[in-house]
Amino acid sequence: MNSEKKPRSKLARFVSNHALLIGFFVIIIFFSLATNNFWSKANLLLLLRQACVVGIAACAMTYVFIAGNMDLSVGALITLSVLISVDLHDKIGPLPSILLAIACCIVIGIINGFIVGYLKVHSMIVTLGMMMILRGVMLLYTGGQLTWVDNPNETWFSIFGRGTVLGIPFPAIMLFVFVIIFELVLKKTTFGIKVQATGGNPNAVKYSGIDDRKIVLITFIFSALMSAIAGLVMGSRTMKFQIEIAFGHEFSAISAVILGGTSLSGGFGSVYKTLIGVLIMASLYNGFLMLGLPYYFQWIVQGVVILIMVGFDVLTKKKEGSL
Amino acid sequence: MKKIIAVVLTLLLIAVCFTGCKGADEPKPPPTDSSTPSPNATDGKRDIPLIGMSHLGVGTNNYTTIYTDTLYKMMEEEFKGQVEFYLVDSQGDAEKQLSDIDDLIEMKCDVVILWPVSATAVIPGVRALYEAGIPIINTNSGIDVSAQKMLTAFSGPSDYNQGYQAGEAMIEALGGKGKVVELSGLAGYDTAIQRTAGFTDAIKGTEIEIIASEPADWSTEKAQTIMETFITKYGKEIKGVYCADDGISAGVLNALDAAGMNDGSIAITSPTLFASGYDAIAEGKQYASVLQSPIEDAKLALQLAVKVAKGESIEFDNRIPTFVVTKNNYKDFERPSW
Amino acid sequence: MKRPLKAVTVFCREYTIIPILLVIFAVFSIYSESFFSVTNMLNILQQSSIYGTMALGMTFLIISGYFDLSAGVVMGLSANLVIILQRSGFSIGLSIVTTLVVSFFLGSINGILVTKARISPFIVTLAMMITGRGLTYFLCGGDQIDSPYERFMDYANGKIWGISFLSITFIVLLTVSAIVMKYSKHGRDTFAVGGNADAAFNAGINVDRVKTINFIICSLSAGVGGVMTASRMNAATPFLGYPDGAIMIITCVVLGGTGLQGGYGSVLRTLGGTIAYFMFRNGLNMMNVTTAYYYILTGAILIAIVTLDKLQGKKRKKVLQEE
Repeated sequence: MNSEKKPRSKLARFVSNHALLIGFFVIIIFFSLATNNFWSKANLLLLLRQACVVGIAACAMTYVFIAGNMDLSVGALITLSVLISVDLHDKIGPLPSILLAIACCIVIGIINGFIVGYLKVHSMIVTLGMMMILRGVMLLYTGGQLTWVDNPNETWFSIFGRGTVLGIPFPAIMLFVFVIIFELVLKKTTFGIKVQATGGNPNAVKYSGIDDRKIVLITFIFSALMSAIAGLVMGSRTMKFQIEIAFGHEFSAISAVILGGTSLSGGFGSVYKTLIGVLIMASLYNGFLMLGLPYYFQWIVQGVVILIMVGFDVLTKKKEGSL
Repeated sequence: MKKIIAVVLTLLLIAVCFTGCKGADEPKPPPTDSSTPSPNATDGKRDIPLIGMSHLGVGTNNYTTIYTDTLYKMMEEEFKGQVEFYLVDSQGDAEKQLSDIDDLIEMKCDVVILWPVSATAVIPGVRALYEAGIPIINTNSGIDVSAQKMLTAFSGPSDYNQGYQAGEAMIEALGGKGKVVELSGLAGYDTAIQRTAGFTDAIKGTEIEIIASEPADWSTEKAQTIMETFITKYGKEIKGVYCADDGISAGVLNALDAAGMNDGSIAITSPTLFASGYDAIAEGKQYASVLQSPIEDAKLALQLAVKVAKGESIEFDNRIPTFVVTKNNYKDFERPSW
Repeated sequence: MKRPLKAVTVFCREYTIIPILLVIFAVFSIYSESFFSVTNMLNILQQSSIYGTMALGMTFLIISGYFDLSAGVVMGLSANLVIILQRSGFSIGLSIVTTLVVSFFLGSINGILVTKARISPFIVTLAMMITGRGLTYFLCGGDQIDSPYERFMDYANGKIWGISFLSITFIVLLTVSAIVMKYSKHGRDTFAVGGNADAAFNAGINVDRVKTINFIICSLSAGVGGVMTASRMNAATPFLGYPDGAIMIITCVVLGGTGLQGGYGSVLRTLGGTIAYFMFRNGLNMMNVTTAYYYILTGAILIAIVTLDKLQGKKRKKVLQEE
């Protein structure tokens, strides 16, 4: 369906390409004007720090989505990572517990990736089932009890969640580094192109010998790895573990990815845009808290914001006839 | 290759079923009593009474965990061979609880201990038990007043009273005036609602003002996030923090720590004491908390249930004592194991 | 003698859920005498009725190639709405009708956004889920609310000849759905659109209308589910259906063997999948399985069922190719 290409003003093109970023600024400006302390160094840094856990996990979730799948076990994986790193911190030392947390998550990622990639079972139920299994296992292990790190101020483990470097929260630096790495890999390496092909272009996959099964496996391993790291940030922040600590986070990560414009059926997406999605959601949460409005307002707005952003994005693309 | 995987998976599935079921705390082999089990047994009397429990959510937090562990321990140590005990867990789902109650009725329990997810949504379940002739011990969280006549007994603490006690502690700490923020429990849950109500009623008429309230869902992490934001927004205005339990106060303390405000000048009270709260009170960082022992809660409920199963009569209202713990008296109490 | 045996094997391979149901039934019957009774089977049927009804609507949508992440929240919203209306003075009948109209409306929003605005259904239904959650809390003010009419609970908790009204409603709706799916134009179009939307379009089917109708059917059945739930509890809670209400509904459909890619499936399969899930849950209760094992076993069996189904699907294809 080719419509004639009307000459588009540079402004219109700029707006449509950067709709997400513009929307983000609109939200920031709105809250800054509407409240006293939204726009303050302390609050903005706080916002950033609070966005990191979801943000780090969302980097890899973007890849999973681009390849055409979803990972519902992310919340449980983050919880697992918190559990291992916090519970074993005092028993075997921070470094071994961190490595163990990462290793366990990766094992789960491999299992997920195998069943979805090689056995070609739909990711929704598989990762849902895995989430339930993890939940049960953690319940068995902890017996539902809390666990925590003694002397949280005296361990280098605290740097993940609480540290700052030159005034910027350490987890935020990690987040930015990850976003840059993941985005570059996606757009500039053959691996990245393969991921996009796996999700969007099954013919290309068939005829160019791309092993889509391996690609899917790797995306799930990444998702598990990033969830593990996100868990380290969370565990380091709270220095405590509670069984409910991160359930539901998978939906936050998914919402951020969706907000950033990546969708299940596209085969395209951008980690940088996911980051903006994460920041938008964090700003909405923080902003509404600052405004003192009831907590459920943010959900109503969030849903509408998603639709507006994405709708705008889609409509402008449609005008250009690039669909 | 794939076929082998399929076969292995199926076998694994069946094996997991067997081991999983056997690994449960109370495996139930077919009863070896004289009456042969028939599919439609309407009068199949067991040789020992069966106590069923519809639980609000095992593993929700430390309190429910210790409560449940206490029940199992008591079964092992005290009541083994006298009664059988089955526990079904609604995992926080009010509708599942109704289904669970139906299952307990199917199992023909002799007594049911009920820990409701929702005070009002559980009423049809209460009615079903009542009409099936099964006595009900309502534990920990009360059901709606309108249905209480169908109960045999209530046992446990009172969330409302504890909230009230925490409120009184706050009045004491602040000398009757000051601005406080509230971090409440899971929005919509009866426990959270009662604790808020108790606190709010206690401070009525004083000059203490709640300037903000957010649900922290009993989560330390969420509480930390919310408290950080409150600190940014209100800063030094905050004189006190009311936390719906010590899981939340732990998050609040973390946030105050990070902001360098953790010198005890801000009064924190909570209606449920955890170990972390106990330590914080000892160090002077938290003002007060209320000791509500899940061990006592569970013990009382099970004891009452066994009595009823044996045909003994019991009182309707059975409260476990709750104590306000502050820096002045914490040494009188044992550090909680939860 | 070989022909009937082969027919049975082919049937079991085609409808993998049936042998699974039988295995579950057998295992629990052996280990629990309370399980193996007519009243318990009716009990299971009643427990399956609410999700079963919602899964019927979801089946239509999945066969046409989509799924609806907002179904759980629409259920919660409907439950709260019907109670709020009753508290505001509406009669029982009027509150139910109004609620169903609202869910109809929500479904049409989903449909229009997907077909006319061309936004990905994942995004639309996710946004609807988030917004709907906010609206639900807004309606009830974050509290649990109960109905002023005691009679309202008689519907969901009442029985006739030992069979509950909920079960009867479910079976009636099941029959209606089966007839519509097999014998109506909409039913045939649904399969066509799910199989190959372009071909369906070229064959003159109004693809957009078919999709929109299915979104409406899905939301409407979620609305019915919400009314049923509200009647069952004579109350509503704000956290109904979130976060994994929709996922559970989809699970019930997929367990039966209807594929998420669309184009094939049936409501009878959904019946099988729903019963399997609730029979499993009931059986675990009857055997006093602790919560931790409940999660582990449920997660494991979910993964096992869909994996088996997938593998059988491959075998089916191979067998068909060989013949």
